[in-house]
Order: sequence, then C-alpha cells, then structure tokens
Amino acid sequence: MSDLRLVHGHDEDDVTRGLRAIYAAPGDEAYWSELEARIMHRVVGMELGWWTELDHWTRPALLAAAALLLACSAALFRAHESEQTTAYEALLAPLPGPIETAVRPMLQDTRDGTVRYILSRQ
Amino acid sequence: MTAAAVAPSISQARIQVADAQRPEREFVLAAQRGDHDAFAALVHLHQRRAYAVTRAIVATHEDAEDAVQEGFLHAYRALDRFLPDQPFGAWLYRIMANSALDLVRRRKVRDADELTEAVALPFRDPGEADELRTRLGEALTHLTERQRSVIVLHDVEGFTHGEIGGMLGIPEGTARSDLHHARATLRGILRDVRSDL
Repeated sequence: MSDLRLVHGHDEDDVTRGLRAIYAAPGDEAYWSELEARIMHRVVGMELGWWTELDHWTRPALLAAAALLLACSAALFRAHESEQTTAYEALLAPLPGPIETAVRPMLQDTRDGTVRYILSRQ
Repeated sequence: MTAAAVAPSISQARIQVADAQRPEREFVLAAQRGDHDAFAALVHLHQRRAYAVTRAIVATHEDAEDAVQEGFLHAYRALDRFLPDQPFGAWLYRIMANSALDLVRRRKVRDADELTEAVALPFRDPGEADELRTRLGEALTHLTERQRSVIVLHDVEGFTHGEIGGMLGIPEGTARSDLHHARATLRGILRDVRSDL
C-alpha cells in the first residue's frame, strides 16, 4: 500500500509522518534499560580512571621498592665488610722479601751482558 | 566500584524516577556531588530525547547510540560547570548535538563514501516495506546534513527554531531558512516520484 498522497496540502503531513517512521526511537523498554546500564558502566569506569589503576599498582610498587632497598643495603654492607676483612688480613700477613734483592741480580746480569757485548765489538 | 555494583543502584534510581518524587534539579545537584544514582536518574529521564537529537544529526541508529553515550560522558565530566538554575535538558541536548556533530566529522574524515551510502538508508529496519519511508529515505539524501537535522529536529521532535539554532550552533533565522528549503526539496522530490508512478 502506498502512503504517497501528495495532493497539495497533504505533503507536509505525509513527510512528517514518514520522517517520524524513519527516525523513530526504539520502543523496546529493555533496549533503554540496557543503554542506561552501558552509559552508567562507562561513567563509573571513567571516574575510577587512572587513579584506580594507580591504586592497583601502588602496593606492588611499594613492596618492590622496599625489596630493592633491602637488597641494595645488604650488598653495600657485604661489600664494606669484605673490604674491611681484606684490609685486616693485609695488615696481619707477613711481608715478602725485599723486591730490590730479587730484581737486582737480573739487572746486573743484563747490564754486564751489554757491557761485554760492546767491548767485544770494539 | 564495579559494573555489577552499579546495577542495583541504577534500579533504585529508576524506581525513584518512576515515583517522580524528586524534581530534576535535585538529581542534578546530587549528581554534581558525585551521586551516581542521581546521574543514572538523569540518564533515564533524558536518554530518549537525547537519542532523538543525535539521531537527527547522524546517519545511522548505531551512530546515534554512540553519540548518546559519548554525550552523557561529556555531560558527566562537565557537570560541575552546569548552573542548576538553567534548564538541564537544553544544556544536555546541546552537548548531545555537539557529540553527534563530532561523530559526523570523524566519520567524514574516516570514510566519506560509506557515509553517503548510510545516508541513503537511514533507517535501521531491514524490512523497510513502507513505500513512503523508502522514497523519503532517498529524498533525504538530497538534503544537506544540516537541513536534514533541522527538519527532523523541528518536524519530528518539535524543537523550536531557537532551540535548534542553539544545538547546531547556527542563528535562529538560518534554522528557519534550512527548514523551509528542506521541506521544499522533499516536497519537490516526492511529487516527482508520484508523477513517475
């Protein structure tokens, strides 16, 4: 059936009626309840936003920072203790023989060898 | 708060609205203090009209729905700047119109061809048996987007020229002129269709 009764004077009525049919909002009440719930879900989600996200990460971040601090402190303490032990042991350890005594014969040998070489060439 | 936690409060708000005990202004004031139930009540009160405004501007039902959701989010963010003595509806529908216009602009940038096709089939009902509706849907593609919005907002939703001008950001006289031209165009096209039948 055609509703195109375009007799002059009826046009706008038909147009308005047609427009109302085309642009009609959904009539199902369940649709509006669902849309309302979706809107409110987004509103609540938006409000929680990054603050909540930050809140979620705060506790693990604090724990991680505390653990890192403990590990650093322990490492520093161990390094300091090791340095002290080394220094103490170095003080107590007996001194090796004089370096001069150990080195001199070799130097003398080398020097004598050089002199002998020069004299032999002359 | 989770979505599950929100659901019962929405129902409570709906009951409150149904009882119509609290005037809109109280909902607005409560919502401004961060009361989600009050904002849900405002959504419940205005979502149909908000849909009508956005539907008049965008090409499809789906876009209208998206624009309504975005519009309510914008409204919620801007709620502290709203003066409760003003009419809430007028303020909200201007936001809705802006949200819809933004969506149209984004769609244009993204895919102009798709939009043109969508305008040609503006109604979501796949049956679309009614001939007038079909002819009118085609005729609407001959209007500018603004003319289409103006005629729908005026003839279907009953907004005044001034209200339409406020929503679309155009002078009242321009809204009046757009309406005149839109009607003339539609009338002319439909008359041609009739003579072809």
